[in-house]
Amino acid sequence: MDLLYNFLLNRYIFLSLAKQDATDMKEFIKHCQFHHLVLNGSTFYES
Amino acid sequence: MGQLSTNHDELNIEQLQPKDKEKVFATFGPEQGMVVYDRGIRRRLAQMLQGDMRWMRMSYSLLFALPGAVMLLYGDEIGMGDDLRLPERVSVRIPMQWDTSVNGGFSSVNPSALVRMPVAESTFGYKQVNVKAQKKDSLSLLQHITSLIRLQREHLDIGHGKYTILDVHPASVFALAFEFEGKVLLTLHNLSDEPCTVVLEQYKHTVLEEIYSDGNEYHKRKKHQRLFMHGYGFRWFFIQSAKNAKQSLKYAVRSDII
Repeated sequence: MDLLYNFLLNRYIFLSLAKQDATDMKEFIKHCQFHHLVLNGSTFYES
Repeated sequence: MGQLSTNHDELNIEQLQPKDKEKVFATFGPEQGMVVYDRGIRRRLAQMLQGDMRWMRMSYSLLFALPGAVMLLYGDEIGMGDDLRLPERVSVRIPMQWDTSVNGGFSSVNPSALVRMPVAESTFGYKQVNVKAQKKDSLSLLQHITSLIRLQREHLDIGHGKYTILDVHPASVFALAFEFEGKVLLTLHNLSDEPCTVVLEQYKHTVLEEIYSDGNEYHKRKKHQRLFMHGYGFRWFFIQSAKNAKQSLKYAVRSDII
């Protein structure tokens, strides 16, 4: 489950860049923190 | 940022809501042939960000400011483009652009013998975008990425400390604070091309020591909770209580990356 969330972070970053609004990525990361999901920059990539 | 970057060779946005998908496609893959498998964008970051150096610099700074290890796709460190004439995801798998010599310095063989041709004539081709030129240019994307790597190596707070997302206005600003061994590292990124001012109520009675920014002129006052941000601006600070400010030099970064 952790990995699934990490893969998703990348999408929310791009969504925030597209909207020029950080809300979506902020909410996503907060959601991960709340559920103790590990965020790791390396998983911005998806193999 | 796999490729803020895009999950290696495709920005897969499959799990987003339909209206959000539409927004991302419209912004980063608006033309026919840019979208692949109805779920992703087969472009490199530099072209998705329209070659806008401010936007690219801010995006990479954001990548390095987030928790965890950073991975970059080869060529993204200099802002290489893609070749949409190639099929599917092969569009981003073009030869590395080292210099302006034959084949962009990737190989000295006769170009007709290459399996894949380098991009030469485009704005993002090797005649315009290459490692050799960017090594000599202190304002290049390559130098920026180099500075970010040094910054992250020297400050292990990133990725190791407890991090907090700060609620700041305007909504275009992403503010993240890391706490590590009694220090606080604060990073601010303005995702909008419009300048703004951020109010940091959380850090009254503190001293902000700027350690990296987008390089534009900022007023570096010792105590400032109202921070101006340029469009696509970014600023990195150490925060300390006023009484400990004198010790801040202890944590100052190397002068060559300020």
